[in-house]
Amino acid sequence: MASDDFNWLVEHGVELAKKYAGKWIAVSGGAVVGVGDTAPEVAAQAREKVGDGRYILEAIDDSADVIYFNGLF
Amino acid sequence: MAYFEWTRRLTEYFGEVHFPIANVRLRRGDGGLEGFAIPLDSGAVISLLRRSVADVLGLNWENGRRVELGGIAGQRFRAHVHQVETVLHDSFRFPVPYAIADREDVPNLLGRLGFFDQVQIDFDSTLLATKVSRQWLGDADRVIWRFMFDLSRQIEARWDQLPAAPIVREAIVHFYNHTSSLFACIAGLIKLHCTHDLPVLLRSLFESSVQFEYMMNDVETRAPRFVAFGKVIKRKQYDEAMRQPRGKIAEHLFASENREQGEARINEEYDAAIGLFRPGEKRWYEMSFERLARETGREIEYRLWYRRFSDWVHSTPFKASVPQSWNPETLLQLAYHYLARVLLGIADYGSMILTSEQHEVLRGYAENFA
Repeated sequence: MASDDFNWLVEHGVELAKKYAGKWIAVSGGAVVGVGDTAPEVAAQAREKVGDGRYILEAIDDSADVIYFNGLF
Repeated sequence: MAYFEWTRRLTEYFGEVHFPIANVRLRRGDGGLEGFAIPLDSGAVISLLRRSVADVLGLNWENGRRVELGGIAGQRFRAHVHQVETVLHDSFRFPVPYAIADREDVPNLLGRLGFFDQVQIDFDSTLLATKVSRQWLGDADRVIWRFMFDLSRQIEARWDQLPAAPIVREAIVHFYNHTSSLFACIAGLIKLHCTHDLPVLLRSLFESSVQFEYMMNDVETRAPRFVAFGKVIKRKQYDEAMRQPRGKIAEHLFASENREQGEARINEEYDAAIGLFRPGEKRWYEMSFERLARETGREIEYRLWYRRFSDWVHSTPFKASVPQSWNPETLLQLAYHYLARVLLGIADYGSMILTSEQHEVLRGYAENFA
């Protein structure tokens, strides 16, 4: 279930960020089911393992010491 | 309402910090949904996605409107904006513009345009979670809300203009504060989308508004009675609390070194007040509330709303059988009606000069009810 996957991702945020900094990951059923440099690559891995739409994708930043902002020029 | 707990990240300089992210599903070109965990960033003018997201969603990246964006360090990059259906949960979905960058080394973010400005977001640092819900006021209600809020503050700023003895002013201020506080509670429940038990507060607001109008019909005589009756009730409650067996709070009061002084004051105030009332009188207005409503010309509202709302206050079997069906807009209009009556009563009594628009709007709300 999507919310269970999200809760697992939230709960394991620190170790996921440590292990997969700078990577895309896919999470499903309490496990990482895809890792890579782009979203399509990771989504494909996840789809093969668990089926379409049964995972959550997250892009983990290189560093947690960031200030996000963007503006329009 | 969608509810997302905050995740955590370990930073180099600040230790472990909490980090609000949301679980959203984005509509792909083939009709399917792709799930993402994306940080929430109210500092971002627009939601931002990495380049490869366009591919996983099946979007032709360059077809979106071209923009240039800047980061906090002044770096600039190209992006193309695409409108993508965003699903928070099955009954909560809407299109959001995403700037899809020309690179992968940017963060995915949910930003203001089309997201933050379309929903109610509560970053709850008590529960370490983000609540995302529908806006609690429409455009028209937002205008009225602002109007009532600003007018209330203007009236508050002119308390010293009230041509009243201190005791009269005390009574008027009490009703104003009570009305404002109840109104704030009502707004709070509407904001939380928890409207089923609004009648409990509206019933109280109605009672306050009717008592206020009764008082204002002969304020010089009745305001002192209102204040005095407070002293009578205080003594009665004190006597009840001190009666054996005492609860923990009463024991604490009984043991207080200030008890003698406090008791003397309560008795003195009681003795000064009790002569104004018939023995055993339960209400300062000395009649049933139903009769009070009739006397103040509010009998229809009493029958239409007050008696129905009483089922909520007393948790009757009828209330238990009613499904969640209150229209929050209707109840908000009713709350505006009661608030307007009090504000108008105070402004008229104090001969406070209002603009013709202020007067017209207040009178409109005061004289009509949902």
